[in-house]
Amino acid sequence: MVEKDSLKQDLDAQKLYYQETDLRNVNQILTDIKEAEASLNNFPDLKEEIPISIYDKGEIMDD
Amino acid sequence: MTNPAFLTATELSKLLKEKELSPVELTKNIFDRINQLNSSTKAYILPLKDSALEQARKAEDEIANGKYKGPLHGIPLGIKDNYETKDIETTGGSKVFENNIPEENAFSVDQLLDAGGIMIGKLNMHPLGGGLTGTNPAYGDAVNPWNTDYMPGSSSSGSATALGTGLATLTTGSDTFGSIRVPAAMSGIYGMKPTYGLISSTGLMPLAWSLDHAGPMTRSVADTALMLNYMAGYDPKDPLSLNVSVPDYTKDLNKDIKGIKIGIPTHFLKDLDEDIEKLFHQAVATLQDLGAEIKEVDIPELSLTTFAEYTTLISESSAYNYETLQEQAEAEKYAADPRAFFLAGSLINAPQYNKAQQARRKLVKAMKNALKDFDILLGPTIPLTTPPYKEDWMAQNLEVIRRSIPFTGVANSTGLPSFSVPMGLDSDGMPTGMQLIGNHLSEKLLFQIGSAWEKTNPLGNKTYENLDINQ
Repeated sequence: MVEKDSLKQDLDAQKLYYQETDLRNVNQILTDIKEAEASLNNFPDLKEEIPISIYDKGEIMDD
Repeated sequence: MTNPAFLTATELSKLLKEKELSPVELTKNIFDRINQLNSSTKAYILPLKDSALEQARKAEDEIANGKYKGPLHGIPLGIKDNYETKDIETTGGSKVFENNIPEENAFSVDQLLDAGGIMIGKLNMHPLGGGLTGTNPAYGDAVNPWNTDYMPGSSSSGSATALGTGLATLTTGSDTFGSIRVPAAMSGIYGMKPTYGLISSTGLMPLAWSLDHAGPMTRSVADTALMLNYMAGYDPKDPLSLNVSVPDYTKDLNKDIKGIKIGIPTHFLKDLDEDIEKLFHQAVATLQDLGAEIKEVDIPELSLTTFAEYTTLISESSAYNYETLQEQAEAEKYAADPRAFFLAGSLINAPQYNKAQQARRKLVKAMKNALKDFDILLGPTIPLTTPPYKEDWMAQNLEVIRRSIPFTGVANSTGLPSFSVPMGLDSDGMPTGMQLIGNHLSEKLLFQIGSAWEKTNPLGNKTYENLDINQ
C-alpha cells in the first residue's frame, strides 16, 4: 500500500492532473505491480538479459 | 433460413460473387439492424450509413461488370475506433480525441477497403484501450450479446458486440494486454492476436508501442483466417512491420490434428474459476480424441508475466499521454480507468521499466524453448467466467485485469501469436474461451487446430442468430 500523501506528492511534482478518486485506482495498480515484482527474486540471473528495445531494423540494414 | 446478417464472410462471398445477394441489400439489412439495436447495445460510436451505401453500390456495379475483387468484396466491416480513418472522426473511444479527423486510413484499413470491404462504422471500445470490461462513460457501455447485463469483454468491446448481434460480418480489434482475446472469450467469438509486426501499426492509435497488436475478430475460424490474409503484410512506413511473405491462411483448415503436440503450461492451470477448469479439462479430452498429443509443461518464467506486461503497459501508455495529463482541461476528459493507468505509469521508475524488458527476454526464451517440444501451447484465454457489470466498474476493471494479465500478457510481451476460440458455455450460459499460442508466424497452424476444434461445435446448439437479443 502506497501512502496517499506520497502519491499526491509524486504526481504534483510532475504537474500531472488527477482527481482524488484516481488515487485509490493508481494505488491499486501500483500495489498489483509491486506484488508481481516479487517474481523477479526467483531469477537472480535477470541482470544478464539485455532489455528488448524498439529499433528500426530497416535503417540498420541500410547502413 | 439464416438472416444474411449472421452468415459468415466465407458464406456471403459465394452469394455475392454469384450475384445471389446484392451488396446494397446486405448493407441495408445491416443498417436496419443498427437502427434497431445500436442504442441498446452501444456497438458503434459512429455508424456510417451514407458512405457505406455508396461503397456497397460501387461494389454492386463492379461485381455486375465482372470486376469481382475476391472474398471481401461487398462484405460489411466494423472498424474499431482506434484505427485511423480518412476524414472520419477517430476517437479511440475517448472525448480527449473528439474531433480528431485523420488525413489517412490506417494501413490495414486501406488493405481491407481495397479488397472491397464495406466500412459500416466506427466501433465502440474501452476508452483508449484502458480496460478489459467494456465500460465507456462517454459513448455508453457495450453489452454482451449473450446477456446484456454482462460485460462483453474489452477493449475491443464494440467489435464483439457487433459480431454477436449481426451488426457487422467482420470486425477489427487491437490487443495490448488481451483486448482482442478477452472479448472473444467473453462474447463467444474468434479473435486472433497475430505475431508482433505481422499487421502494420501505421494508423493504429498507440496504447503501448511494444505491446500493441492489430488483429481480426470474427464468427468463425475460416473468417478469421480470411481476414488475416488481407490485414497482414509488409508496410515500409512502419519500422516494426515484418517483411515476410504472407501465406494463404485459409489453406489447411480441413487438415486433421493427429499427432499435433500440445503443451499445457501449468501456469495456465492456476487461479481458475470452477467452470473454466471444468470446461478446459473437457476441451483437452476432446482434443485428445481428435488425435492431439497433450501433456503439461512447467515454464517457471511465466511467473514473470504480470510484472513484465503490466509495467511495460502503464509506462509506455503514460509516456504517450504525459503532456496531455499536465493540461487540466484535457486531462479531465480521460475516463477514470485510462487516466489511472497513465498516472500510475508516471510513477514507474526507469530500473523497473528496464527490469520488465529483461523479464520479457526471459519469457521469450522460455516460451520458444518450450515450443521446441510442442507445436503449440494451450490454456484458457482468461481464468474467469464472464461477469455481469458491477456498479463499481472501476474496481471491477482492475480486478478483471489483475486476473487476466497472467494469461493474456504472455503473448503480448513475447510477440507470439495467440488465437482465442470459444471453449464452451459456463453454468450461467455465458461463453468462455481458450487460447492457442504458437511460435512466431505460426498463425496458419493455429487456424488448422482452431478449425478442427470448431468442428466439435463448442457452443452447442446456440447460434448467434437465436440469442435472445436477436429475436
